[in-house]
Amino acid sequence: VSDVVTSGPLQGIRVIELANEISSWAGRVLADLGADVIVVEPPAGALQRTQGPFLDDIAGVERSLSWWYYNTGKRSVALDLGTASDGAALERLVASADVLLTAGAVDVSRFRTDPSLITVSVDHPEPLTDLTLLAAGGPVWMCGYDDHSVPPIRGGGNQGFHIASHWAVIGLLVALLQRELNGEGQHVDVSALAAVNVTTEVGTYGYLSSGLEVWRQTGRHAGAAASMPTQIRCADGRYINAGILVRRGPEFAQMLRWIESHGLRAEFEGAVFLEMGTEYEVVRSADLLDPVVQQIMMSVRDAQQFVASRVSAYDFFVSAQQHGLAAGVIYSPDEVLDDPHFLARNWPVEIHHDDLDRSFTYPGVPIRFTGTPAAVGGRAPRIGEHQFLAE
Amino acid sequence: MELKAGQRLKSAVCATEMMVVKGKGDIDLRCGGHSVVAHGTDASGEPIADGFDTGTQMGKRYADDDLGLEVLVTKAGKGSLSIGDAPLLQKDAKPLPSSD
Repeated sequence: VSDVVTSGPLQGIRVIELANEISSWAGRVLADLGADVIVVEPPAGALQRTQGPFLDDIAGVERSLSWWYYNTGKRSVALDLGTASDGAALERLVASADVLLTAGAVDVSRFRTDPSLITVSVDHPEPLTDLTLLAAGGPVWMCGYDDHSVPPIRGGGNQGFHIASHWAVIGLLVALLQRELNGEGQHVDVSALAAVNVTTEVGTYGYLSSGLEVWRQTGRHAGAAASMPTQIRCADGRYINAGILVRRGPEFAQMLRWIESHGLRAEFEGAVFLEMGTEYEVVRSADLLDPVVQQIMMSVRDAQQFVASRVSAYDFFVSAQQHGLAAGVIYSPDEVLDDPHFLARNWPVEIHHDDLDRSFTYPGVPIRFTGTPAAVGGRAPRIGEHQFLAE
Repeated sequence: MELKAGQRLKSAVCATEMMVVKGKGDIDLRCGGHSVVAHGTDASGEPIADGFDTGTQMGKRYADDDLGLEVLVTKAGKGSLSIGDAPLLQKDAKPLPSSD
């Protein structure tokens, strides 16, 4: 039986989760935070168990890495909710819990007889995939390339489901706080479509406030007007995202020190413009009407390109950050796990799978609590591994 | 005239003012057919030479890729820029810096 750790701030809160890939990330976050999350799945296993990739590329309901990732720290009860006995078992489980977490067309009203129970539903159009959710919610329109003859793209991973799940967790935490005040639970209904739409940054509010129509841009935020490219290829062929341009005098000075730290100041012809930038407290938008100020600002990107042409992306990243200049090396997601900054934080964690006698690296919990440490619980449960809970 | 980045120059014969963005060395940069002068120098009062009177545009960049020279016009005038007698061509506009 998996060893479930509940040391986090939600220790003592029991959540019954009806297995669904849309809300499974919410359950995972709650488990990371210490809640006792019991996932209820059909006797043949949750649909998520059929999703690859699979351990050693061999398919199987206990080998789905998707299931593993989304269900660490949870316990599993297998119920056939079409039968009266298992329906009654679910009611008993919910009666023992603080929270019922669901997604889609689940009627939770029959559980609302317990006034202290909090029910959370992630509501969404049916049928649904993460791709259609992100498309219909707005983000896909905003993701892609400067060349608008290239169709919109969608970022990898179940980002729409994650966004909806995060809002479900936010709603639930607030409802838990409210219950502390008056002892009463409530129903928390999260619209997945609205959740992803409010992540479109300027897209929706720009349109509502000013009628702006934003367009996707390569490697940077969508905008109503084209902005400067931010991705720069470095000497090792890898890319850096150089972020937004500096605007404050001290930042121009830092940029000069950064170039100097690479021994390149004498070679960089545009240093004279960065020196001019040091004379500004801050370059304001109105200042940009002055072509000399425009040149000062462009010299920032020129400087970044100059340094990039001579150093690796990682050295650019670290040296710029050390000088207080925002920059990000463009890692693949797996490379992040090896970054010394994350390793220093002990962020990747090894999870032992006692049933396989093997350990695997998982991303850790991004939050640290000084009083109630959160941690990734044990491996994801096998189907009905904790069936005794339903008895 | 010896040029270097950041140097501010003006036309000897019209209102054009400019700044060197790129390039250095002894370059025969002219405006209105006459050699440019240091910023702050009085105009010579001579007329703009024939054929060098199409004007400069404020905020535009003019460049000679072979020389690695690029100048930014900070004040427009009636003379036109050249290297010796060869016209200095206007560059395509770069997008303005954006906050994001």
